[in-house]
Amino acid sequence: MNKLFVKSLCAILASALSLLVSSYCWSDSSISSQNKTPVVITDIESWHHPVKDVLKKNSVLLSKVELKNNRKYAIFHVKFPYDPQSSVNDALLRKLYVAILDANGWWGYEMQDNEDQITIKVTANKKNKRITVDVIPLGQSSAQ
Amino acid sequence: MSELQTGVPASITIAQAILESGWGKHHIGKANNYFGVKAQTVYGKVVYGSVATGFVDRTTKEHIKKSNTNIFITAHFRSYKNLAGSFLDHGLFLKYNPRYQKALTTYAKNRDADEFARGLQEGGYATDQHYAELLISIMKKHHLYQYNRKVANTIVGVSKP
Repeated sequence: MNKLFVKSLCAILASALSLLVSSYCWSDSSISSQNKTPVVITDIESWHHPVKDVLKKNSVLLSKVELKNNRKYAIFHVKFPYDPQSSVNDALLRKLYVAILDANGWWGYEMQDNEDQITIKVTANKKNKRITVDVIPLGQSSAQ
Repeated sequence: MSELQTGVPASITIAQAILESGWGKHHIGKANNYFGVKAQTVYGKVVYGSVATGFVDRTTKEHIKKSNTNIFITAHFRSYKNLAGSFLDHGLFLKYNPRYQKALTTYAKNRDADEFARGLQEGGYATDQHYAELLISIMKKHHLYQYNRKVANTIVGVSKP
């Protein structure tokens, strides 16, 4: 009886903990679906995540977040206050890519920029501390 | 020549090349890329448009103070046969970029390269608040306005980069 009680208690605690962790990471009231299908977050005001702070600090406007692959892969829909394809802005952009990556737990991500008609895909290897940046014309990205 | 095909004032292109390549010293190794124009990736394959002849990967070190670590960032850049290719492709990048349409349209009417420089700034070409004034000072100092076409362009057909 006691054993069963402890087992149940552990299960309840584990599920509560997992709920707490996931709600911290990707908490939002407008999440439209569950784990296996893509999640779309449009209510950015009530969405809390370190990436949001990084974008805000860099004056990059965030309008939507899509989460794919069991919420492990994020596509941030953004608007840049400057041209993200101009090499003059490269130094600033490199810092931004790294800061987002850091805030995103070193998971690769994409930034979709409708105004400039591009998607910036950042692929990361945390072990080697290496990042690859691909600039993709809008709608011509390989499926993640 | 590139002004004829792109509508971008020659004086602007030369001033930008001076500024961005440090008087021609930096052009991404043997890539002859004087403006750091990037190659794009389409369905996993790197593409480089109709003017460039290939691409090179360039890795830059980014130091993170907070964690005292170095991050290596690789990006794809277009490579050109020569300087002329780089100049033309940069002009085409501006020509087909919606951010600079206002600057191009205005220049086609008033032939004012200084205003074009300010239009680039307005379009977000550079975050440096002094970028336009820097271009203007280079154009003035080196008498680059003489290279601009005096009449409105007859744009020769060149495909989108």
